[in-house]
Amino acid sequence: MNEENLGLPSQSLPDGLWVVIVAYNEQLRIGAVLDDLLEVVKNVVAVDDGSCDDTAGEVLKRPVWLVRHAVNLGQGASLQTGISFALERHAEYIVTFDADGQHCTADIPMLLERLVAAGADFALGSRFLGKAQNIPWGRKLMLRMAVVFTRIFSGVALTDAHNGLRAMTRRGALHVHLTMNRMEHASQIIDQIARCGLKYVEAPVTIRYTADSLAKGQRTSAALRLGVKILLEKMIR
Amino acid sequence: MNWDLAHTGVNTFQAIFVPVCALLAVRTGLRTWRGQMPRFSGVLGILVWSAAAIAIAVPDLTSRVAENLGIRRGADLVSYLAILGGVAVCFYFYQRNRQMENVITECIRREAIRDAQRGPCREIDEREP
Repeated sequence: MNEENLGLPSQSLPDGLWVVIVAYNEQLRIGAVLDDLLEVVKNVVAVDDGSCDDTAGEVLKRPVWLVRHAVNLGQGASLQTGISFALERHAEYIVTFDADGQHCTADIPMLLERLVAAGADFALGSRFLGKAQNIPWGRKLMLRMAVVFTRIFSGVALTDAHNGLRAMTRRGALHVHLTMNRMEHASQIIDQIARCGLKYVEAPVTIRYTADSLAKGQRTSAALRLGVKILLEKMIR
Repeated sequence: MNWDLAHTGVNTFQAIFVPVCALLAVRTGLRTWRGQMPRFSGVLGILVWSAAAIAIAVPDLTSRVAENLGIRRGADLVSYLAILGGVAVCFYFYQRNRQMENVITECIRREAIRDAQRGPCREIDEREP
C-alpha cells in the first residue's frame, strides 16, 4: 500500500480500497450512483438486500461485484456482508456508501486522506461539519438526539452519529461485527469502536437530501424504537 | 357426583389446580433428570410450579409473606411476581429471537458471499485484487 497516493487526485486511490454499497429496491437510482463511483474507485461490492425489483440486473451491467441476500435483512446486515466480502478479497481500506445518491464520491478521497493522516482506524463522515443540503428540521433534530444518545451510552463525542459515509482500515473492519440488522447498526459501529479502543476521526462530508431519499430513509418517529433496541442489545450482549 | 368439597376444607379451584401444578413440577423434574431440558431451566420450572401449588393450597401463606415484605395483600404479591415473571419471560424470548436472527443472517450472508457475481470487466478493471 502506497500511502503517499492517498491524496487527490482520485485516480491515485489505493488498489486495496473497496467501496461497500447497500441497495434495496434501488433499480432506478443505483446505476447512476455506481457509474459515479466507478469514476473514482476500482473495487465496488454492491449488496442487494433481497430487492423485489431488478436492482441486481442493474448492478451486473457494470464491473462491480454483486452479493445478493436471499431475503431482506436490513442495512446493518448488508453492510456486514459487504465488509466481510471485501475483507475476504484482501481489502486494505473499506468505504461504506449509500445507494440512494445522498453521498458524494468526491468525499471518498478526502475521507481516506483524513484516515491516513490521523493514523486512525475509522474516518466517520459528518454532515454537520460539512454540508447537509435540504435537510428537514425533523431529521436534523433526530440526528442531534442520536448524537446525545451516543455520547451517553457509548461515551463517544461525535457531531454526526448516524452517517452512512465512513472509511475504515482493514484493522478497523476486522473489529466490526454488526449483529443489529437494521438501522441500529450505525450506533453499534460506534459502540464497537469505543469498546475496542480504536482510533477514529471525523471528516466533513456532503449529504444531499431529495424527496426520494427522504421517502426511503429513517423515519423520525422510528428514533425511539431504535434507541430501545440499542439498549436491549447492550443488555443481552 | 357430589362436587361440594366444603366439608374437606378444599375449594374446587384448589382441588383442580394444586394437583395440576404438582404434576407439572414432577414432570419438569423428570424431564430435567432425563436430560431433556437444561438443568437451570428445569430447577427454575420445578420452583415455579411448586411455589404455585403451595400458594394455591395455602392462600394465607402468600398473605403472611406479603405482610413480611411490607405489601398489604397476598394477591398484590402474586401480581407483582407475575409481572416480574412476565418481564423475565419476554426478555428471555427476545434474547432467543435475537440469537436465532443472528444465525439466520449468518447463513444468508455465507450463501450470498459464496454466490457472489461480477459484472462485465472493463479493460482497466480486469485484474482482481
